[in-house]
Amino acid sequence: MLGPLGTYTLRDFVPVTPVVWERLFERLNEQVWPWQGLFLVLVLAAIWQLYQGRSRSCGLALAGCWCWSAIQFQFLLHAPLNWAAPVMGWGFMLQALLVLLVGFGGGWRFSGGLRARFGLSLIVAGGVVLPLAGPLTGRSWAAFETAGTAPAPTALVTLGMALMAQLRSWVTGLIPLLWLIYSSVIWWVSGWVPGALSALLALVILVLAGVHSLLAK
Amino acid sequence: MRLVTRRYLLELMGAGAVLAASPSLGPAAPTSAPVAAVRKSIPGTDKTMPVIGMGTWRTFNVGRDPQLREARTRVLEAFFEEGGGLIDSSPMYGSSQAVLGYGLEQLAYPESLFAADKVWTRQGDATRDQVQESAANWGVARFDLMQVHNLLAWEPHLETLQSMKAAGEVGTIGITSSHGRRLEQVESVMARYDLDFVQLTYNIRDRWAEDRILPLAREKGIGVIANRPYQGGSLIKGLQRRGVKMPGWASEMGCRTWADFLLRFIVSHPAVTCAIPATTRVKHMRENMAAGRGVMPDAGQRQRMIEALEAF
Repeated sequence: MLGPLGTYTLRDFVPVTPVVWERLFERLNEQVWPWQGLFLVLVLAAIWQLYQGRSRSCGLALAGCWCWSAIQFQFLLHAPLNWAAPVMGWGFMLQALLVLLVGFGGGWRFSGGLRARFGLSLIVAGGVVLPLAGPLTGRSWAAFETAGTAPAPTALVTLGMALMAQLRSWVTGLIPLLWLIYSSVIWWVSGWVPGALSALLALVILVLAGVHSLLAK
Repeated sequence: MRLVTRRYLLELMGAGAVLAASPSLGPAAPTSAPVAAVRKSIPGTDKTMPVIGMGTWRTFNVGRDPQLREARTRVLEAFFEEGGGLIDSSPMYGSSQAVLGYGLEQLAYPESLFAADKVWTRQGDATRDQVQESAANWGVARFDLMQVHNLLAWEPHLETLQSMKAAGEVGTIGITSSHGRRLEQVESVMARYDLDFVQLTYNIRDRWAEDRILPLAREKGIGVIANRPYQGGSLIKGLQRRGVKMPGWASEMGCRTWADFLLRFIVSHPAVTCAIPATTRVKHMRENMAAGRGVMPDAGQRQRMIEALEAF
């Protein structure tokens, strides 16, 4: 008998141990301190600009966060651990460009309605719930994931903003969603449930918002 | 000078029993470990290596994190203190090569090191470049073993590796596979090429290699490196989660832990040269290394081990 292939598990596709992944966020905070505060303010500013209908400044602020995360997280910290990280880094740069283009195209303008409320739930999840869930469930405060710097909260906030904005902004949803899926797989393997559920949460909210948009037509 | 104790004599006798049972095994060589480790022949040489080596997938991929690099250096230190030899890595394993290089430099490159790495690139003409890059990461002048990783672009790589071996640029050469992938092709390459080693998945649950690959390896004098000895950790975790107790008779073979039990099963196969468990903990490293000493199970005991695990 020559071998079956049924021995693969998700763990076999994750190149780092849980401790290394956890430490990555501690090191990110050490490396960028105190600038994560500034980029959190930038995210909040982007949301405010969206609400105010200032699409360009919203796009500029959010694009800055994606560039920052690409450089600090993907290129400087993640790249030595995963040969695919530079590709992810360029994906984040592309995301920054898309966010900027949508901004200059007037896409970051508040749309209102139920879809915007779905969006707000993702913004709260990414800006508050996921970052606080870490230390509240036993992860180190030093590994606190801040929106604007850490990729997963930034991805959740961006998806939320896209739901709040004009439909054309949805083009900026793919890369954050892909990152959330990757990140969730790692947290699933590592046994941290809130992190593992972040992609599922995003998908559920997106599907609900999509269904609502279709029904509204 | 080492004191000759009853335990030491028993362990030497156990090692001798394994050597006598298998024509592929070489003589026991002196080691710096506290007790004699069972050793097997390195194909194509007159040397031997301890039957427990070390893998680095995931465990040594810690990037530039100074805290974790130090922790891995301590694991490496325990490996060599216990008489370890073969360490296996790959360019696919992120920063593992560089972290190994850092640790080995801290430990002044112990003499017992048997450096094994892999070529992992689709570019068939990049063999030498990648071997040199890997050697720079490790900080070694040459590798004792260079393998083609998962048979990726294996034909051009193997051709180059053969000429590198002839020129003395690498010690020995081989191919690798894992999870039972492409075993037919592994068998075909083993039959057609002059290999020193083949690396594949072999453990108490995944025994696909027993039918044809392992007999062929014995027939052709090819060394076998067993990867995924604990099925990536899930085998031990599963046993621990269910609270399964090790059978009492396992202690007759010197098994003190499940790691001991599972590794002894692997390395007692006459065709297997060594197993390469990976760990991040010094305690686990010492447990792994303990499995390479003393009495090894015979064919009857190996069958009993399989049946014991099948019950769970």
